[in-house]
Amino acid sequence: MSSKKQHDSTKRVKPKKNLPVWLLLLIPLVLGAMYWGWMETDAKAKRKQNQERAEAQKRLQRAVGRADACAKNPIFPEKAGLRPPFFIDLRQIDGPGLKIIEARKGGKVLQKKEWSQVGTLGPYTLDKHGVIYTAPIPFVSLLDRPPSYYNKIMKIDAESGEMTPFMSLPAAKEPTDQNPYGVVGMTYDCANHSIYVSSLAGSGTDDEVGRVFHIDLATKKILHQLEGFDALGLGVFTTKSGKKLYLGHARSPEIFSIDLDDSGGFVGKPKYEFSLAAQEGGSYDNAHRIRFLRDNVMKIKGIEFSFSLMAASDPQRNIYLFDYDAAKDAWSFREAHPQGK
Amino acid sequence: MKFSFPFFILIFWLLLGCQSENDSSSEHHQKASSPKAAHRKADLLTYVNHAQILSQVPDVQLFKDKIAGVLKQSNPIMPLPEKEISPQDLFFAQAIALQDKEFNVQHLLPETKAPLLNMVTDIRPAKANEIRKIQVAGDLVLVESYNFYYNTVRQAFIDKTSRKVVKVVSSPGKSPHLTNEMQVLSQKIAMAYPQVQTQLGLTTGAIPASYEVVVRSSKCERSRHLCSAVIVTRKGSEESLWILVDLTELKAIGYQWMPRWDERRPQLVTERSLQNEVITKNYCQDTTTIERNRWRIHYQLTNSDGIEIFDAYYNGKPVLTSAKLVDWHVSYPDKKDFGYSDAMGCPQFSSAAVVAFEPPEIEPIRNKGQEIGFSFVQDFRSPVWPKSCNYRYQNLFEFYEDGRFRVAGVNLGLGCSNNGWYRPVFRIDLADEQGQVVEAWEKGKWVRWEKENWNLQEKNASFSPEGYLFRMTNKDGSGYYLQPNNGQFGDHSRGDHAFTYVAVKHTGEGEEDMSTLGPCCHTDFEQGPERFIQPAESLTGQNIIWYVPQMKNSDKKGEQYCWVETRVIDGHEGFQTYQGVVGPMFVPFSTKNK
Repeated sequence: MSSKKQHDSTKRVKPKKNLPVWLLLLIPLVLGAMYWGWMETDAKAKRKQNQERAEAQKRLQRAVGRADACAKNPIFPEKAGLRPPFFIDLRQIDGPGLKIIEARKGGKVLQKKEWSQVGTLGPYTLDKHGVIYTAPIPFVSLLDRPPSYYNKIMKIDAESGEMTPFMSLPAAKEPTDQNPYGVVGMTYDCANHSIYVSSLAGSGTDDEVGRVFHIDLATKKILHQLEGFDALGLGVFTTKSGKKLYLGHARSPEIFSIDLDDSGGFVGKPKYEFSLAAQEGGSYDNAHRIRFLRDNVMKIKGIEFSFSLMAASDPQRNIYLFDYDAAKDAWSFREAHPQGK
Repeated sequence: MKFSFPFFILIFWLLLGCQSENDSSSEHHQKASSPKAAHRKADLLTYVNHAQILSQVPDVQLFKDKIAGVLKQSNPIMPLPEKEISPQDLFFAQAIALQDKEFNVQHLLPETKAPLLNMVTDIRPAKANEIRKIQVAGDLVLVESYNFYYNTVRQAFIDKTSRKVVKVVSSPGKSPHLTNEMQVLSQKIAMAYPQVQTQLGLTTGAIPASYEVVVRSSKCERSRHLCSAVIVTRKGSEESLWILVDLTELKAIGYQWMPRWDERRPQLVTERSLQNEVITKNYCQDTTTIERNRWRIHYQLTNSDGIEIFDAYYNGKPVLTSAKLVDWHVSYPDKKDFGYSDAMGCPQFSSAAVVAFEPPEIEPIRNKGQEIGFSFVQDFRSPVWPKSCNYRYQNLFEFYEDGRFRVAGVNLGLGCSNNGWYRPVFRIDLADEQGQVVEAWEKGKWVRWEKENWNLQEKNASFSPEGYLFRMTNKDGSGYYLQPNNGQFGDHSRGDHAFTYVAVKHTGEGEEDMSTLGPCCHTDFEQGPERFIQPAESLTGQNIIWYVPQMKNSDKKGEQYCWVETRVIDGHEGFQTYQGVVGPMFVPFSTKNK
């Protein structure tokens, strides 16, 4: 007991080798003031940023609905004698490539030779000028083209129907036979005249290195890039809480969403929305296409996707419909049924 | 007053930390979080003796008897037991629905009038959204039935006042309401399997009070059967065992451990997800070894070359370095250049379109009751076989106790028409460390091939008196004869008519996985392997045999080959297959018996 007292006492009376007390007090005060000043500046900036974001949100809230409503059909089918309405056929029945078919029984079919020369085409989207953007995908076998071929976007001119390469996309890793897929999903955003494109190039069993690109159509510039997410179908929709990109996960039957800022950039990380398999009548499907209809309905085309090649015949496709409930700012499941049934 | 060093660290950490956070928020390239499938224990119960296991479950037999009784009726539909109808005053609706022509339209197969099994699965007041959808006003009762053959749900809406059917809706592929009876049956089936009991740490099928059991609908996407999932959770545990039950064939399909059900982010097991999980983990990522009947072989499912047998030993001696089937070339002569180069392989992350759903099947080969070897079969299917333009192939290997072995391919249809030609491309690498001489039977004698070469088994091809076409001799005088299939192997096959190529073994010529070797539709020797023998090099003793048999399908009654027909079996959909088999036998010899 006594020794402890002595030790304590010694400690108090001998502050040897320390800096002067005034200096020790001054340093944290100065640093504290600097920090406070910096924090205040930062807080101001953040307040401004939040204000801007709130205003942007308000603007967006006024326009709940799909982001590709301005997209229109190309002119060239009518020039070629087709009578609207017509649809873009990418089912690959009777050969590869794209066809434009009049939407009536016995309707005329338009297929330019060059449209089938690029191979099987998968996703597509239209822009406000009627330009078609599409991408080749592997189908049945890799005999004619290696996996590296499939990470590019093709463009079909709205006036002439001429198909030309638009741009190639950078893969996170070299594509291999284990995953021959590149570009698999595409959607248009009227607000920025831009497209979102998903690519699975380089993803493997244990490495999810898929990318989602946000591309300016006027400049072909990649504006934003989301890393490490394998997405199939894509769709942009403005909800009450802001504009979102919806992503169909290629590795599970789940749908995710990610917030978009005014410039179309990604904010935060993809958030889980719902699972197709968990819906009444749902299957272990992957969301292959996500489209938004006029009355705020999300239409998802679900297929079996396992990073393997597609079989020759028509795969089983299931349609899932969800309604946007603005009051709850949430999607509610309506029904699931096989396509065409 | 003393200020310790950690205080400064704290200040700088705050400064740097905040700065760093600020930086990252302006970064465009982001790392997203997404679910990674954690390793979970799962297995398929494909080759267990279901009949034996389920013979211990009286409810299964009772249900089968009930089905047999229903199928004898003119209106083959199993009504919903009265006790399952709630409220009871809706009982009248069942009788009305069962009299309605449109509701009962799927009770017989139109072509043969064979009875199809139907079951009433639900009777209840129609929900507001259902009434909205059919656009018929009124106080409506819904009667739901399930057709096992078409895998279709039909719903009759009955007006409670007029007691008439006002609307019938058909929903193909939809899962019906699971009746209490089916839920109880699902649980009894699931718990009868010793494999399931072992997973749960039980010794009988009785579930102790410390476990919770939930039965819910699941999907059998590939078989298109009615399926349920029995989910068993030990109280307090974060994991549940999902057991998938096929209620069309009345058997368990397999099981998988999953995280406990979370309403916020449900994760489910279906037939497709379970098959992909088990096959990928156990057969695509791992090599398996079999030792039996004097053989030791290794095998693994490949990306696109089917299942590969490699490093096969007979009596401890290396015999086969590798054998695999790299492509099926399918052509339809009535349509120029129309066909496919089909690759078989793993169900996920592969360049195959015809994939493995089930594990390989290993069966003893018997002769007069005596086991003389074993067969090894790996099945591959297009997702919705046997619909048009879907294919089903098999790798077949046979290993005999006397040292013979066979490398074969099986075709089970259906393809795109009844005029299809199939040309599977085999790559066979016999063990030949010391060098091997290749001889072909030509004009009544063995003729040594000095250079790379090919040969076609024409209709008038000559074989050695024993039926052999090639002889591969090792330096020690032992070796193997290649005996083409001329229908002599007891499998009703119609011969190989094969192109055989002998090439010098080179790196990059097929020892690794080959996504696709050749085009679909060539009818001559240009099937792909010809590229490895042009220009012809001198044979060095290290050889690869490429073997491309040819077979044509047929749907002609009594002559079906490489074909499949849909049948009604116990009121549900079944298939009658007519296999086409090709592939040579390798027969060993030593200097003594050469």
